[in-house]
Amino acid sequence: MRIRLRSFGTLRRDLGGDLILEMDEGSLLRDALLSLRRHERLVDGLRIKDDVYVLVNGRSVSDINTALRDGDEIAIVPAIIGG
Amino acid sequence: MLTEGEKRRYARQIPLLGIEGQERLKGSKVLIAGAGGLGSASSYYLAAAGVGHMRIADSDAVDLSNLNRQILHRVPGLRKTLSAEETLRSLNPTIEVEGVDVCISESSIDDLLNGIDLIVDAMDSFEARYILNSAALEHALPLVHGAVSGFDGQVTTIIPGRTACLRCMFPKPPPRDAPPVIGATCGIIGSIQAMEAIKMLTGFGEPLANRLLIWDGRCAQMDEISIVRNERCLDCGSRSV
Repeated sequence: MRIRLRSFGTLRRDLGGDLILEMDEGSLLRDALLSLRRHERLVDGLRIKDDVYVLVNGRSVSDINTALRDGDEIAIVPAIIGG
Repeated sequence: MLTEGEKRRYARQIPLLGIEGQERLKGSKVLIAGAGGLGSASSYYLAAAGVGHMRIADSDAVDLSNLNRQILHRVPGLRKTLSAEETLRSLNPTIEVEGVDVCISESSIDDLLNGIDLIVDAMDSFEARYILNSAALEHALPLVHGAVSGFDGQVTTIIPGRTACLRCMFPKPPPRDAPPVIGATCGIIGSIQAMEAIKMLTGFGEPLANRLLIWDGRCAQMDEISIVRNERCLDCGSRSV
């Protein structure tokens, strides 16, 4: 199945920007995240780091074991805090 | 009703907004939550555009290190609300500017929102932003969220009952931090917040509803993410849409 993965801001350079991932049926969010170079920027053990937000099809997701489906779009957004 | 002086002052935007739109701005009350980098840029443009009443809340004094980006302020040591009042009144003497020297908290927010039509989120922590988010939902007020870090920033407009809320997008607060920031990043994001506020107050255009705009200043690239409301959101999940 094909998954689109977009990363933004400071993460764009670490993760490669706009990618299409070819993944096996039944793959999980963690499979997609761990397939990235510099995935240590996103994942700490088996949890998403506190300074990163991951959205699947526009919904914020905290469970790294979320199941993916063909055509899903993952967005990875760094925490932007300041005012 | 606009005065002749106001018609002349706003002559370059009345063709866009109409007399009616300009009068709507004049009759509007906006809370600028935070008189820092984002509050500086957004309040400047909203005051210049003729928002009739600006309430600016902050509990800090100006520090020398603020001055690379907080263009409301000139004098270190002055209370930010006083500094903001002076600057904005000087910029546009026809509007009312009200500085409120208070920390935004669950106990202060209801008074701050008395009579307010729209909130501009110019805070520097997600804990404070969640207070604004809950209050915006409670009082059914639009909330224009903005945040900056380094060369990057983000904006979205939250419309209670219509869009995802801030906690739908960012369910847990990120670690507290005081990131370095280029002043122009605040200018870009604060200006977009002002534009969103003007659109919401006048009814013109399409707001950033259910869309998160992300600015990458290093690449000069603007991206957008569609956002979906979380039915189980701690803040808006139990509210009907």
